[in-house]
Amino acid sequence: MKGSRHPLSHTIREMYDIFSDMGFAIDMGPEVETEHYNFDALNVPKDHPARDMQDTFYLENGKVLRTHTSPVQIHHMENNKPPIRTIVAGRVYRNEATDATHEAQFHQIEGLVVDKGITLAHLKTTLMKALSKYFGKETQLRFRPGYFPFVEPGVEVDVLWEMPNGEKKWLEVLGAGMIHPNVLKGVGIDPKEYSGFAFGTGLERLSMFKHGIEDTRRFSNPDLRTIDQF
Amino acid sequence: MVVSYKWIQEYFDEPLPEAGELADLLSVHSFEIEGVEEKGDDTLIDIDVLPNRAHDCLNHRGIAKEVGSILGRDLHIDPLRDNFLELPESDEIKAEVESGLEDVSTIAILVKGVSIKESPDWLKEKLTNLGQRSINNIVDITNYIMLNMGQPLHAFDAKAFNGVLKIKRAEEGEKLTLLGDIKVELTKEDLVVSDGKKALDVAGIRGGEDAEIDEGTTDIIISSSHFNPLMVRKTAQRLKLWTDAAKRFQNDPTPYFAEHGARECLEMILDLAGGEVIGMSRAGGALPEYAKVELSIERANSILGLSLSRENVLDILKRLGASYSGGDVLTVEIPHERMDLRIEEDLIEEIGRLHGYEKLPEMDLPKADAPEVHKEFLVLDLIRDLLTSEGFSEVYTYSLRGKGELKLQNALNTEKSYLRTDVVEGLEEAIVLNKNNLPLLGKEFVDIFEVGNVFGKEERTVLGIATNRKKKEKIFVDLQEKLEEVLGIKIEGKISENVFEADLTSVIKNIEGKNLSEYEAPNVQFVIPSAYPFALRDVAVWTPEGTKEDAVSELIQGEAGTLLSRLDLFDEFSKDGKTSFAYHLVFQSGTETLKEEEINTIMERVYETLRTQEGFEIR
Repeated sequence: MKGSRHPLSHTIREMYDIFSDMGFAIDMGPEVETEHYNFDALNVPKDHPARDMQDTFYLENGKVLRTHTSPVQIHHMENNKPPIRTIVAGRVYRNEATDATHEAQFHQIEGLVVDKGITLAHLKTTLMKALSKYFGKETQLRFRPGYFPFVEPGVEVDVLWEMPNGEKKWLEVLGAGMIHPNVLKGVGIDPKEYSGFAFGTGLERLSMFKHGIEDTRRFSNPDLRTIDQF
Repeated sequence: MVVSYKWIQEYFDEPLPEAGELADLLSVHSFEIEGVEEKGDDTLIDIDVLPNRAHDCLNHRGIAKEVGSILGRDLHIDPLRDNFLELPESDEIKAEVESGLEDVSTIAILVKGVSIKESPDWLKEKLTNLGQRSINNIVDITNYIMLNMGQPLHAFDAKAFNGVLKIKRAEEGEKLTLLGDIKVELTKEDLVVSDGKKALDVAGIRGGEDAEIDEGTTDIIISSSHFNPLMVRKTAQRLKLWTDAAKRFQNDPTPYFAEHGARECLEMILDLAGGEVIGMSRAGGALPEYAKVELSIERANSILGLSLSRENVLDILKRLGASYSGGDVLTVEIPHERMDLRIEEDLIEEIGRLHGYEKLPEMDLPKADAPEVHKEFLVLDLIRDLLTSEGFSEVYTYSLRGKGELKLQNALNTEKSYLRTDVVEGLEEAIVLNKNNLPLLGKEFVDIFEVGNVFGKEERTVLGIATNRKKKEKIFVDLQEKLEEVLGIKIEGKISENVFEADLTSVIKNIEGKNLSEYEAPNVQFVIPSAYPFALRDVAVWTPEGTKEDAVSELIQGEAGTLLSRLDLFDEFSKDGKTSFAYHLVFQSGTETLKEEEINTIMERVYETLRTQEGFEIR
């Protein structure tokens, strides 16, 4: 009998296939990060209320467990010159109580594009095409204003989702926006010459939507009754 | 921030769209809406104001201004556009700010002969509607002003002050009892409102008992200030006192709020509590100048992907209450309360969201070739591909563990206070977890693997393969060889108990000339595993040679019904013109624990059905 990939490994591979067709590379990075990469370089200053948006695990050695995969954006932009197209996937951590939609460890995927003339409209079209492929059906998107310190403008992305009872609802799937000029400047990219977009979401959330998984805690529970369904 | 629909309506002459529609407009153009709830003849809208707008929108005026910007309507009253108070100074009240304190300014107004009493019904109702408790007219007025236009204020009993109200750093170790009998010990990092010597209030957070207004109070000091947001934030964090005032001050509302709040508060006190103004005193930093931001219309269009005309852009700036001058590149003067609008991109966001993101056109990225695959991703994917084809399933286990080398400062609990140094513990636990469910899985053994990061002296990526089979050494060696063939690189690893763990660092570094394998995504709708125990039964049956296996299993399934959750053939052989089939039957219900008799009855029916087939014989 064939074994199963973990459902999130499926999602990573699916996303990779979708985005590499659009010219995106993939990158990965460490889970233990400095505050510089996790916060400062992403325009989240020390002692700013924006830091409270993410409950952070601090290590005794002064580092942090990354609260998002966005530090990899910074490493990637430091090591590569525009044009840049990459996605990033990996494990992240938040110091919060566990329930059906929260887990102290979870996984994110995000994307990054930096080039001349990149617009918010590019972001919307790229996401619409990628999510339509992932969900296997034409997927309608909507942008709402959102706040993430490393993008400006920042948006929340909803998809119009058909519930099991046939009702259609807007459900939040991603956070995104145009890369904040402070972030570009910080990695030596001139924001007057280049612009870019970034987007990110929980891999769990994508998998839960697509496969109808009801509880995020199933992903870090090595229970084959779940995994062997995939 | 919960706002009252009726309260927002007070800012407009014309009726607003109904509450649900207004909430939808806010959600698409401004803020996420957490809920809309009817309450009496009002509707409460719960708005998720994030840190970028918490300085100006944690109040009704701020939300009303957003509504006005979306709808293109002016506020017919605006407390932030009124004149500043002009009142005489007096020997009886002096405001001071300790030298060296940055980003602090304060206004103190002495009012004598006020009547402390209950608030009028309309005020009580407004506060209780939003979940605030009514205390007395003075305290209620300060709360009302905060909810209405955002400035947290405090009114003190004047006799605690002796004519001087000074904002200063607390003395190291200074003790203070706050309203609600909260005892705190302060440090030099805490700001206090004092009489010049001793603390009477933790600035921007909560008042002290000694200066509390009660029925006996006749003379009050209205204190309206701007406090250093960082100092308020740190003190509130340390004292764990996240009051409504602290939440607002930490977000750095404009110092103009203090001016307008003082005027609004005084007017209302004179109106509802009477009294006579003796004098007013200001101290601390001057009000900041209005920020000016350059905005190129061309650049706004090139970031958004729109082609807005100059008129479109000017209309949006007007709706924001900003003034402007210039041609293709505008100089925009930002309203004082919008502390978040400081660079061109901030204005571009305002243009995008007020114009409406639904109007973004479709725009494809230019075509680009797929770049070379990332080595770590490639290695992990090839491993997943090989091991799943060898019958092993991939698990993710917890990185946070009870022991390790890297310790967390703020762990959830002691079992999750270190980062893992290997995947062995997680995989051993996974074997135990899955061992008892093997019949449900149609498996004889737990065969699993994990690829993930571990944290010793440095962070490394490892592969762990685990099985509870007997001859695991041979299995591990066999898999190791297959992996080496697929990856083209030697793999070093070690075995402990049931787990083989290999470091992938050099594999990732050195892999060459390999490609990702073919992949097909699963199209699966997840079925929640039953929470109830399962029961296992076996049946073996002789059949005439040539009998098809699926004919036998169909007979069993047809008779066993929906409680049969699995049927696995585990043995088959032929002898003397007969073929024997042996099956595991797994029974489980999604709604209850099955009774022994229930299963026995089903099994009797299964035996009976098999027995009555021509040439069948139960073994």
